[in-house]
Amino acid sequence: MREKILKIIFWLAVLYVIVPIMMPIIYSFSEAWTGLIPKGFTLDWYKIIFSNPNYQPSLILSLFVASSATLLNIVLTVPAAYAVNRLRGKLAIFLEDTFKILPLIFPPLIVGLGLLQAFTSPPLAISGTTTAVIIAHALLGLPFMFRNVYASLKTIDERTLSEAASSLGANLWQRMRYVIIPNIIPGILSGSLLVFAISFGEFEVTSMVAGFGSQTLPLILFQEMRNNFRIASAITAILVYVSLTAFMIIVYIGSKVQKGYKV
Amino acid sequence: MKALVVKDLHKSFGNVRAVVGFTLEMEEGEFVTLLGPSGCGKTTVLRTVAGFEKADKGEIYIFGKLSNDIPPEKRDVGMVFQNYALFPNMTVAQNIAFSMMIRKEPQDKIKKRVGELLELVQLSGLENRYPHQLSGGQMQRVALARALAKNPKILLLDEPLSALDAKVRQQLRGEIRKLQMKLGITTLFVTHDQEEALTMSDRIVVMKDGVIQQIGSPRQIYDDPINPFVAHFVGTSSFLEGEMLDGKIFIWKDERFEVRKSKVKNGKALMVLRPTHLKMVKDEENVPDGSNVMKGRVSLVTFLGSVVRVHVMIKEEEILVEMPSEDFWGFKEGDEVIVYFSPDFPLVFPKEQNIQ
Repeated sequence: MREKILKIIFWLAVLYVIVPIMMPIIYSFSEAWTGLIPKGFTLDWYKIIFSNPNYQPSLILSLFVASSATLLNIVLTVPAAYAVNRLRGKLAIFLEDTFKILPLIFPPLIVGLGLLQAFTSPPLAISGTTTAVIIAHALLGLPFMFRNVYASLKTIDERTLSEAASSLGANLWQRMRYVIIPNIIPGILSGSLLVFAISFGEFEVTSMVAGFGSQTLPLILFQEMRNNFRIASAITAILVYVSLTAFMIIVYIGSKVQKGYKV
Repeated sequence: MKALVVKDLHKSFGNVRAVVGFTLEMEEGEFVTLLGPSGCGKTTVLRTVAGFEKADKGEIYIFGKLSNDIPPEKRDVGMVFQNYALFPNMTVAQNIAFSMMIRKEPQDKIKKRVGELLELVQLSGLENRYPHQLSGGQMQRVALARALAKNPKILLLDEPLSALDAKVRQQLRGEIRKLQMKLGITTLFVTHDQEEALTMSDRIVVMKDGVIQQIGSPRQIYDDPINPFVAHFVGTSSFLEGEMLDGKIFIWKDERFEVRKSKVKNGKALMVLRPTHLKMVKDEENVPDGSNVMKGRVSLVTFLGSVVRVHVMIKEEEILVEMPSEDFWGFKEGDEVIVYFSPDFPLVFPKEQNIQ
């Protein structure tokens, strides 16, 4: 009996997660949806999106921004997590909390306002540019990447592995290349996935720091929701497809990098 | 030339003095164990020799070469860690070959050496396994082979057996020692386990609070501990607090014992009795002349396999007596017994030396 109730709760939870994602996808393939069941099957909405010159650049831009934000994030966060993991004492705990929690406490609106301020005055007067959007997205994703990478470093006991490698003659670069990076790659990849997904779907902060030249897909989506809900659904669906593809690519890369060297 | 010379090593972490004035010389091929409770500085010494810690003061010479400022990757030492520290992303063969790969040695040479090493640690056939597919004992063998692969001049072992099951630990203990003697490699071993220290070492260095207490062969450390701490830490002992008279008579409660090995002439003193030094009988007739005699009551009998340990309450103190199982003839809890020992055995130390 108890087990049955738990099962029901589990499936309700699954539905709760999946339905909101599935709805726009189903909607984007249907001709009409007035009753409970959608009617007809069509690719028209996608055709419109891909033929309309407004949408294509923003899709490419979104992909570019999300990839760049992810890369920038890796470059910043992996060394940061490595350094914090190497520190001892109060400073380490403080920094760990800062990276993990602080960016999550502030609502995106506040982060957006802060960035807007920073980007409007020299030396960083880049407001409205794609660079500004990339930097903003990298920042928003930082706590997620940090958590994952930091947890990986702790799990593999990076200190001891590095010591073992150095006692076997490996210098810093070789330790990174053969031991540390391959073993924290799962953390980096799951962090990347989150950063990519956050960037790809980000609306609030983007709407504040983006200009006319940096209209990402979610911004277009927001405009389109008022005009044509069906096209908006198709755009949403595309966001989901891209995130899933990114997920699969990342899993593939992970399986390649993690292998040792050839003996 | 000495294989390893550590001269007046000092190391502190913040306010904690981890190592204070540590000096040790090791001959080539020698197996030396640093023994002590956790926090005694033994691991810090090892890590300083490996190059992971920088000495505050003092010098480290590896085969005559001053090594204080040589980074760990350039030192001629191999290290085995307590938690194995195998690279999880690499197979057994890749782990073992790591140092040779770093040195860019030719593939066929690496292959041959990996094969030899696997045979040496009895793991042939497991080269393509990953660490998570191995047992603890197998992982530590791989770690040992990996450390030996670069032909280090000194092998450093940091509590390599602590994480293993009792049975595997005992087996590997013997194997490591045999391997070490076969290869003739100078080895510095760290442990808190006195049994490991006693069974494996040429010499033992007993440490406490960063300071060396005693250096000596296992036999010396056990038979002739320099202070009550060493006596307490290595082997089992009973301690009696009393008073020395003229360097010959030890007065404990209202008993008077004759002793021959006392470091105290007069005044408060601590007597160390090894359980094996004590004998136990039912009637006084069987006690040899000249023995020190005490009367007591058996409070507990524990069977330890090859020996039987009897706890005897004598004047509200519990004293341990051990005898070979085959010599044990049915003492029971509650029996009145006579415990005696020869004046040659017990050591007497000044009272101010604490056993902790």
